[in-house]
Amino acid sequence: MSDHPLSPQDTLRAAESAHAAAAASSAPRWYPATSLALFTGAVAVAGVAAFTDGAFRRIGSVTGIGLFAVWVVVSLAVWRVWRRRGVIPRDAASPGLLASLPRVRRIVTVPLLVLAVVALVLGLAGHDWALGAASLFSALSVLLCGFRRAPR
Amino acid sequence: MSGFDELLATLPRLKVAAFLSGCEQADFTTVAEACELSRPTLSKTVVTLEEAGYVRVRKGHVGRRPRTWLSLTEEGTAAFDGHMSAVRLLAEHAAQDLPG
Repeated sequence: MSDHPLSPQDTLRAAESAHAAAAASSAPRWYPATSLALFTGAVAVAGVAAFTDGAFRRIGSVTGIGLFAVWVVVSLAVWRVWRRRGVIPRDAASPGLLASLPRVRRIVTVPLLVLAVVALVLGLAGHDWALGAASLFSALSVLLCGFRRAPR
Repeated sequence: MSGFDELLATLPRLKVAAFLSGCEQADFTTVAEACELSRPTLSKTVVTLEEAGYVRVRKGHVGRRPRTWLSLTEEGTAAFDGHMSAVRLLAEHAAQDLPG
């Protein structure tokens, strides 16, 4: 293949064609939203369960763990297909509900993560309620800010 | 011209950067097939782009088969976007300069 400089029109045609070939393998439409809902649902349900007692606590914990397991299985299956095909799509992971507000997203991310870590430390130090709070802060953080950086 | 990147001014490098700009990452063989490049040409292209900091190379496995995964870095993405903006401008000027 030639290493000679290209004309602007040839450059545009070649770039658009190559970009379209990669973009054609986009994520299944249902996956980013489903993945976000399953993960945040699992962590939130487990977090709420930590504030309850008795049967509610057990049911909440089992439901949270169940949703988390479904999220892992679905994600592994989808990632396996992408890896076999040789292209991981750009929209593979959800950027969260604040994706269209990058400035707000940046402002919100750090405080939520700090709150989650502080709550987790308190929870590990023996405050039961704090583990629930850590789960809820984590779920909220992922719901708003997603699993990856916001698109450009 | 601002944004024009000499490194992306050849067809193999441009195609690889354009392909990687459309996905999160892709494996070496898939990029070679999609961009219609021979493996030695792609290998040489990737080394140049990696040395410039435009492409990240990661070795992995799918099952037992080794795979080389390529992705565009932030620097590569910025360079590609800048290059394409400059090329679009050039194409517009060229179209305006056509007689008739």
